[in-house]
Amino acid sequence: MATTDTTVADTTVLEHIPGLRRYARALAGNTAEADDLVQECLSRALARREKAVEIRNLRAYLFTILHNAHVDRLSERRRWSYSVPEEVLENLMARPAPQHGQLELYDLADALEQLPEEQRQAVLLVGYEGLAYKDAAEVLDIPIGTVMSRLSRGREALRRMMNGAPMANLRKVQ
Amino acid sequence: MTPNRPDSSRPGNDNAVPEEALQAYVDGQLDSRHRAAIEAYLAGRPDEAARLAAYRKQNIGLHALFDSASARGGDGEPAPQLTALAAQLDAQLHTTTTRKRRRPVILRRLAASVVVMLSAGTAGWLALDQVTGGSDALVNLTRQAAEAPLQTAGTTPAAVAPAGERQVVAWLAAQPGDVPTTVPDLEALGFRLSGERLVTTADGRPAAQLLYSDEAGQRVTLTMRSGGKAGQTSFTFARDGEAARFFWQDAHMGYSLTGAMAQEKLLQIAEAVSASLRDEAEALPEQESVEAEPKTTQTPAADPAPASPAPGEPVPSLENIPLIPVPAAAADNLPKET
Repeated sequence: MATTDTTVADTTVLEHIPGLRRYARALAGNTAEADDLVQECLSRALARREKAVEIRNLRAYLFTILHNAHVDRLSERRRWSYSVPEEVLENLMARPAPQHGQLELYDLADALEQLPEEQRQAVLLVGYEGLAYKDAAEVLDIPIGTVMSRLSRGREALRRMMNGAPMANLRKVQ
Repeated sequence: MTPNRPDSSRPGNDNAVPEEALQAYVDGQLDSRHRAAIEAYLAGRPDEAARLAAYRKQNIGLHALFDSASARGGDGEPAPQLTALAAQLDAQLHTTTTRKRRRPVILRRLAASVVVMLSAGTAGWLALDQVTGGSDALVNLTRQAAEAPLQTAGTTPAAVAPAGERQVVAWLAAQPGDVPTTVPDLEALGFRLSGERLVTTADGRPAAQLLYSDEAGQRVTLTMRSGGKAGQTSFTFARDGEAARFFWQDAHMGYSLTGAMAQEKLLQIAEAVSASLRDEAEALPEQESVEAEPKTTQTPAADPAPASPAPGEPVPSLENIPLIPVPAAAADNLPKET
């Protein structure tokens, strides 16, 4: 494992911008807010004045700061409900006709909106961004085992919702 | 809020394999030995196979949802202030630190070309953050492959022979075991062979890399690694930042396909590669193809991923990840390009 921890010096922040924006958009459910989050993430990172040598994995480091910025925002709000960004759905509609599985994607978007925030975070970090489990654990600041259980509960909940199971049945899963 | 115990209430999970391992299988975070073990386990459990296939479909679906938004939602260039902040942060991170970690020259070059590519509106390809512990030869291979396109995309394509020299074909002919004799034809998808070269993988095995590009400038790199034991695995997907990869093994050859594009798109190409190589094998009846026959314990692809959906079920669009796509007999179950 040790050999995998030396990558930071080889990547640049600039290189991670598209990934940060993409994840922020999926996480915040709003494109404008996503870019805002990325900007806040970079500002916070600058304020930390850390050096590359102190960072095990630049991508996980940046995602962590972004995640914290997101969580801080959530805690300032009384009510917040996640929704898949408008343009994602518009985009789906605008697809050329034979795009298979459009309905299924709508279902996925629906299900994602109903997922508990914590499970959605795990699913997006691992399933969408492809973070290694240990990196996801670092980003979310929880043990790997917790990442795994959120991930498997989230995935199973998505699967059941997409199969048309009512939410009530999901209680057992959680 | 909710207890964090791994739930044993999974349909069909008889706990013979820990749920964590199944999740890791879905995410391509297993080495090939464990991956094979899971596939053997799934072969006798269609319910479990279907459940995991559904999870994989979710991953693909997430990309189908959110990646497409980025294509339209003003994602082309990050806002200037983001770029400026990133540059500032890069400068801060790397002051006074260059001596402690010496990067290999090649990586420095790669990093430089990333900047070039980003400014050209292309997503970065570099995938230095790896999937697993790095002990798996296939994973190592794909990591190498992920870095490779940059070298050809950068300013020094010296190492890459122009397509047409057919050095890879000659190389294939010299490889032992059950291997293809020609390179895949991806014309149907609009990808043409634009470069090729012979390389050595990190673990010292001979490999060949083929660079394909389409008219829009998208590129994929196919790496073929010879010298391993025969075996078959399903497509495993991994993603690091912008680079998406599929890797799989068929007979004596390991394959890795890398490109900075949506998973769906890359999967299409991976299937075309696999199909193209298989067609070729079928066209050569004299070729000993015992290894390619699905006589292992694996279940046919049709089993975990039924070709026809049950009535009332969602359209199986993302079904395109068959769990066992490789066996020759299953060729007809692979979706055809339209």
